[in-house]
Amino acid sequence: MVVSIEEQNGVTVIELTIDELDADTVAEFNQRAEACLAASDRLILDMNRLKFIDSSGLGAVLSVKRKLDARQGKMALCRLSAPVREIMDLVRLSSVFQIADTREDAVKLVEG
Amino acid sequence: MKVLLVDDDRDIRSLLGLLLRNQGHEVVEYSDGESACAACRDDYFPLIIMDWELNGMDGVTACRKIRKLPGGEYSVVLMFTARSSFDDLQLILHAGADDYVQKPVEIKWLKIRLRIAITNALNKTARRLAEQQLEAARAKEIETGSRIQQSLLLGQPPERLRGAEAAAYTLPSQSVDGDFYDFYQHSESCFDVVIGDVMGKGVAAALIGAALKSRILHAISELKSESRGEPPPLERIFERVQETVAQQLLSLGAFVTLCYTRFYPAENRMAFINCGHPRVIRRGRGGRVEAIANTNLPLGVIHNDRFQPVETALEPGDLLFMYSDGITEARGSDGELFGEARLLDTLAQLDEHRPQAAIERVIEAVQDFTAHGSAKDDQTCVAIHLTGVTAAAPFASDAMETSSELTQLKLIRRFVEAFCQRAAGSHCPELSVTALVLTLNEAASNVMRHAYANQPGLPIRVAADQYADRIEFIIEHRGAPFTPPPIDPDRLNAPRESGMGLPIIQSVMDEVEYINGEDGLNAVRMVYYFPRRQGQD
Repeated sequence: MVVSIEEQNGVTVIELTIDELDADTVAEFNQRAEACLAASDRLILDMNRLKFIDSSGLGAVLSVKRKLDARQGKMALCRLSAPVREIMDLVRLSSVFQIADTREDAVKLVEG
Repeated sequence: MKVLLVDDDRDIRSLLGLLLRNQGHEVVEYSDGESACAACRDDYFPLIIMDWELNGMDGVTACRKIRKLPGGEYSVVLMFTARSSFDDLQLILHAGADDYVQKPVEIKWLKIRLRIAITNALNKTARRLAEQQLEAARAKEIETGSRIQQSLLLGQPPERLRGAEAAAYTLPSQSVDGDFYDFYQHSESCFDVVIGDVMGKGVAAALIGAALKSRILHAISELKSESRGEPPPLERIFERVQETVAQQLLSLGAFVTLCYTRFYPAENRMAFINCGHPRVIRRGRGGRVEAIANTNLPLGVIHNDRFQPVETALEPGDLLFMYSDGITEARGSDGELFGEARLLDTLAQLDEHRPQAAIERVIEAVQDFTAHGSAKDDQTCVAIHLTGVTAAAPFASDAMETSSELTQLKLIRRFVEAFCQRAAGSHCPELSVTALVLTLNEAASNVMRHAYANQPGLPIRVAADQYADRIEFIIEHRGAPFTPPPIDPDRLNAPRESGMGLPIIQSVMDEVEYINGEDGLNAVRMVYYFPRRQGQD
């Protein structure tokens, strides 16, 4: 299992339980994300355990956001580690996503 | 109007002063020539009324001195005299006076002569103002042109060259010329130097130079993307530049001399196209100097010139010197030109080969020759020194063998992370380990997914070498050879769900090379230069 999924105030929270999301692990992430997308319009991706993400991982996260955008859903990322933040900045994705420091803040971003 | 009244006769001063003040003029009075000259040095008087006979310096001498002061030509000088001989009157006019009044004079005539003088003084003042404004506008134009030149026309010599070092210098003349130079580095072992001169001066010349430079850059980048990143052939660059600018230059009546040289320092050769620019000088071993022949007419002379690069073999230690005609056409005090022969001689006598030192020596020789007179034309030089390529041994090397399963990406990341952390500790604390780990991950992932088409169990070797200034990585594999498509450097600005790997590699690494070996062993070679710290050369 690469993620654990829970519900918080009507928002689906996906917490990555692996420390690296890459071309090897992205397929399972995609499956789980698809399942969540089928069930919810409001998603939070909690990345606190993640220390590395490659272009396949970033592509997968971006794909989730685009699917939600297409149906006026909402998504936020939260609790990014310093190296993941650095990678997001490097590929200029930091401004594409809503990013919160805590899960509570992330919930507020996607609620309502 | 401010009037300077100089007479040693107090009564006349009083009379004239009263007349002028009644007409609303401001009058400054002196009784001697020296004080009058001193007043004119500090202040501008549109009208000067002066008697010939004065205490101390006489009026004619004072008039001559005033005329020699800066701006002294803008005053109307009316000379009073009791003398009436033809020679005397001629002396007054030769001293620079505009008119004279012969004493004694009736008041009604005096008033008329004063009116004429005041009218003339008003005209001269207006002319002075107009000329000052014109001068300010010219100075402004020169300043603008010079700013264009500094910001748009002069490139920075590349710092990281393998087997070569470069330096460049421009001594701007009083006016702005269209001298320009630039460097285009294709890789650490191939770079271009362009040096040119637009005929003409001022903002127009600077703008033509800037436009031409931008056309050249445009041609290079267009051709490079067509040739998948290979340095485009020189003749193709020129053909493309000619297509776009020759007609415009012809219609503007402007032309440009240009020497475009491509250096391959590791291969000890260069190729160039020279369009009417001064010949490139090569200084070889033992101070042997030669000027290498010209081939083409300046750009803008004919609109369908054919370009054929001249190939020249070089040797390690050679110094190549490119310059604008401001160097050879600098004139000595006797009007003689500095000339190519003197330049060759100066370069033959150099006691060291560093390009910066060579340029300094040439500029010094030109300044000695012109007795430090101000330059009429820009003096621009670019010097390239072939240092010879020596393969320095790396400080640290490591390698790992692995296979083409995606699960191995993690091991590759651990290997790169450990190697980079050691390099950061020993050489470069600012090194971004995360960025390098990501980049190697992307390159290895591409090999697994594309070169090996996701087939497991095939060999991959990752090696890293750390040098004083860089880390070189190489990923070797026996998968399909890969030539990357041209990458838009801005591609990262448009986030995408796939295909981000190549732009990441391109943006983090300073050099990326895809090597397709004949024996089926292919590789991606990537070089990362350590960020330069402040204060470092």
